[in-house]
Amino acid sequence: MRRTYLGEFEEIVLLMVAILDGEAYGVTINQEIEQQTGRKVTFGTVHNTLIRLEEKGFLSSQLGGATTERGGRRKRIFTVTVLGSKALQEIQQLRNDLWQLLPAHLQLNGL
Amino acid sequence: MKKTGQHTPSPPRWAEQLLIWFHPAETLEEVQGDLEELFAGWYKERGIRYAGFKYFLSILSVTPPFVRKRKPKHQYHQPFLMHPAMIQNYFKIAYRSLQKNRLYSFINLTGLALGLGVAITLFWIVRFEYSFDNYHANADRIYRIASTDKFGEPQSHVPQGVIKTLSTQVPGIELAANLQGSMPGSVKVGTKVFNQKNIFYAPPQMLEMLDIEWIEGSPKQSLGAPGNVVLDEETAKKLFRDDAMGKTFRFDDTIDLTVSGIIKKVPANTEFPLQMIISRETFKQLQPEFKNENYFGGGDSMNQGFVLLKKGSSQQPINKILASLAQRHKDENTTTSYHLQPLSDMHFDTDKDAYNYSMPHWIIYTLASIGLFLIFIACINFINLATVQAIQRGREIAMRKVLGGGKGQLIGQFFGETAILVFSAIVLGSLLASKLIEYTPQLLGILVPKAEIWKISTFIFLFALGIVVTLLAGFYPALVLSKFEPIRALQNRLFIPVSKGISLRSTLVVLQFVIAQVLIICTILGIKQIRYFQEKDLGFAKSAVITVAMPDRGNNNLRERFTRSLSGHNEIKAVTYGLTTPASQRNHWWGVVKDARLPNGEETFRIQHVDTNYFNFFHISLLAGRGLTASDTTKDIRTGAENTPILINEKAAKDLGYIDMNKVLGQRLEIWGVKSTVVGVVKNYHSEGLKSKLMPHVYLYGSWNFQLASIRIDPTQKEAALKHIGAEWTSLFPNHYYDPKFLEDEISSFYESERNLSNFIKLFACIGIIIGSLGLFGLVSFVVTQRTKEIGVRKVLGATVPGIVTLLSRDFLKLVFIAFIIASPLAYYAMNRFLQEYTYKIDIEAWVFVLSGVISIGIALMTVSFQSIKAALMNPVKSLRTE
Repeated sequence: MRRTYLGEFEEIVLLMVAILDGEAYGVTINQEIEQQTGRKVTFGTVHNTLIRLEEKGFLSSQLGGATTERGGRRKRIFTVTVLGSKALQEIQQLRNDLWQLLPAHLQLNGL
Repeated sequence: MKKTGQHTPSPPRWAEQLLIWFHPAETLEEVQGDLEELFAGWYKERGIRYAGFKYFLSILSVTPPFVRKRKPKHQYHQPFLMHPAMIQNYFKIAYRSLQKNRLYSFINLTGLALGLGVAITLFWIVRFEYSFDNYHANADRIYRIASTDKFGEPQSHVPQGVIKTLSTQVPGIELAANLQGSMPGSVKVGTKVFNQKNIFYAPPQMLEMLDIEWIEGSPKQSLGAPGNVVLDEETAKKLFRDDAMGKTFRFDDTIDLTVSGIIKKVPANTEFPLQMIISRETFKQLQPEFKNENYFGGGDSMNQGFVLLKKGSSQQPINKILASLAQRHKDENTTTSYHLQPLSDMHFDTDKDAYNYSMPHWIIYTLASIGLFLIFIACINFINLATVQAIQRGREIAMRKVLGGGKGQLIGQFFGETAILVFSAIVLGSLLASKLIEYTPQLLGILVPKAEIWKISTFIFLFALGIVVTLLAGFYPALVLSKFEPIRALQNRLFIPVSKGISLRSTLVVLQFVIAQVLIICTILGIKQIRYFQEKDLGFAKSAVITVAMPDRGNNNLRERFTRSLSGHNEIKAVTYGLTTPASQRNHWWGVVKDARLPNGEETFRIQHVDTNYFNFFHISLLAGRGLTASDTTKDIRTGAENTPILINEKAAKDLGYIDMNKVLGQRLEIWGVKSTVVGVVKNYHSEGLKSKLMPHVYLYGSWNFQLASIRIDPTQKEAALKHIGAEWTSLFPNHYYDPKFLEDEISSFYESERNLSNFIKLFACIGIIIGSLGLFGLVSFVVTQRTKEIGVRKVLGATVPGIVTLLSRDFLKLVFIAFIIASPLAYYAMNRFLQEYTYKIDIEAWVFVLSGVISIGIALMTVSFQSIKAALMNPVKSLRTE
């Protein structure tokens, strides 16, 4: 299977969408990243990454129903696609495999 | 993110507006919502300032160029726009829609063809006028010497002394020459007498300066000796039929000339229409005063001066030398300054006496701007009709959009259709223009048709014109068309956008009629002014007068015989002789009168040599004193008598400071160095047409200079009179060409440029109103079709035919009326400025405006009512059944 390249930040965003499980949209992803990683990210970065991930086929999105909140404006809810979760799994698998290859003394010292 | 009931301030409006403006539309809604939520979070966290700052930063991060654009989920499959099948389709649809709306297509095509035809004609005219003398290889180095006299009047004469000094003493000058233009003369070859126009006396240098194609001979060989003459091919053929070189002819019954050179016919676009060039040496023999090459006096306005500068030398130092020359010789001449005038300016200088003709810049500008206006009117028609038609094509457009046609494709398609129409109109317009251009000599007095018309620049112009007009006419309809929403168009819910206030279409209609009405008003006033010129009493009787030239300046014996032989015929009433008639275009003689009584100590008087019965003949009345009598004829000015009797006119008397005309009698006056006594005062008359001021005149008997005979005939027997005069004249002057003229024709030629311009504006006004009416006709017929059902319902409910006609016509007539209100002051302003040029002019009366209003409203009414009456008379049963 052809591996699609996934950037580091893209990986984090993709993970966050998976974590938020149906609650993922611009605001929550943004806040979650700041809370969990302590990184300050601008909204535009998240926004662009989401669009890029969707283009690559790792995410799908649909507009939620209108609510009375936020001026009645709809949210775009993101979910991870099969391809997305496969990609995440592959990365994890790859990391695990690589960890296994570490020389024993390094492994014991916890690097 | 918890939501609390507590009130949070909303993000700053201006920042949000930035987002709305710049953020891509596809993701605007969600981003707006997200940011508002984030703003609330930040506010709770750190307060309003922090929130505002973060909010602004975030907005920047989602505006171009930072933001990524979300691609639409499903990209429509777009067929290749230039696929052969699509191109075929475009043409098919264009053809169908043109055919379906035959009326509109016809109106558009006619309007555009008329407007473009005129524009193309004007392009040819303007190109021709600006091409004058640009074909000479040294055109940028050739200059005419222009000058001004001490009365501030521009004058054309350049004394030989100036040329002599320039060519021998001034560095930077390659060639300098005098060119003497001459009145038409008689050429006798064998027994045949020809009238020859465009005769010039020139030294070889003059022809070296200009680009002239020599068939035989060269400037130096052919114009060096007395008796030499150079002919152009056409004249040579006219005079000799076969080879003319070396042949001899008799010129003006005074001298024999031998053909020493032949040149190709000069192009039409030259200020030097050289047909017969006689060597300057011959001129010196004919007029011995020109033997002195160093003179600085004199003043024949057809004796002009030209120079060719050396490569790289500039005109400033030469202008300086010319100024000092004028200063040094100010006592010998009235000229106070000379300066160089580039050859390219010469054609547009109306102050000079032209060998060919002069074209003032303002006429060109007026013509060109009217041409632009006509194109504009035609484009307005197109825009109006195309916009209303576009609505009918709503479904086609919707279908195209549904099947994947993009906005760009629709715009392209519409521009393509416009281009087809515009370029067909250009073809028709060119045909029209090539017919129209043939009439320019009559209409405008210019010779464009003699020049080549279909040059490369014409095609470039036509192409550029097509592109510009297509863009101008197609832009708005294409925009409207491509903006249609497919769903609404398919649901048939498209209406003509009824805009509040003033719609674009009404504005355009008003604009059209403003232009047309301004043209109408200007035409009426122009025609009135010209009629005024022709009908106003000039102060002398001009009707039924025939003039013939008296060769040899009226040799006394021959003149007596001519008078006697004419008096034998009943058709001829009277004969008189003089230098000229009271008013004529040419042959003005001037003399500077120095007298302490004159305001500036001196003034230029016009000198008129008259026979004893001259004033009686022309019904010019005397205000004081007596006319000239037979006893005065012996005291000719030339005999140097001390007491030459003269008459002056009222204007001269006033300038001399006399109010009581009787007091002038017996006063002494010195003219041309001869002491004379005023014996009578003549009432003022207009000697130079009504465009010029009254001139002071002095009249003296001078049989040596009676160059013209004026013959009053019985107007009912014109033919017989002309025949008798011709027979008598040719028997007396067998070696001269007989060329009788009617005085009235000559006087009306004073106003030629006005008449030419008014002819052209008349044509423009007609075309303007035709195009405007065509457009109105189209609009009305569209509205009528749109409102067919409404009219049916109204009729069923009892509306009368006049009621419906009024209903349909009112709106359009209102527009024409508004146009009238706007056009009147514009036309008033324009004509007021135009008429200010004239001392004698018509008043701009209200009825002219009323008339033009009535004309245009009448035409509009006719146009509109034709369609609306047809609609109103329609059987409601039929109209309600439509669709």
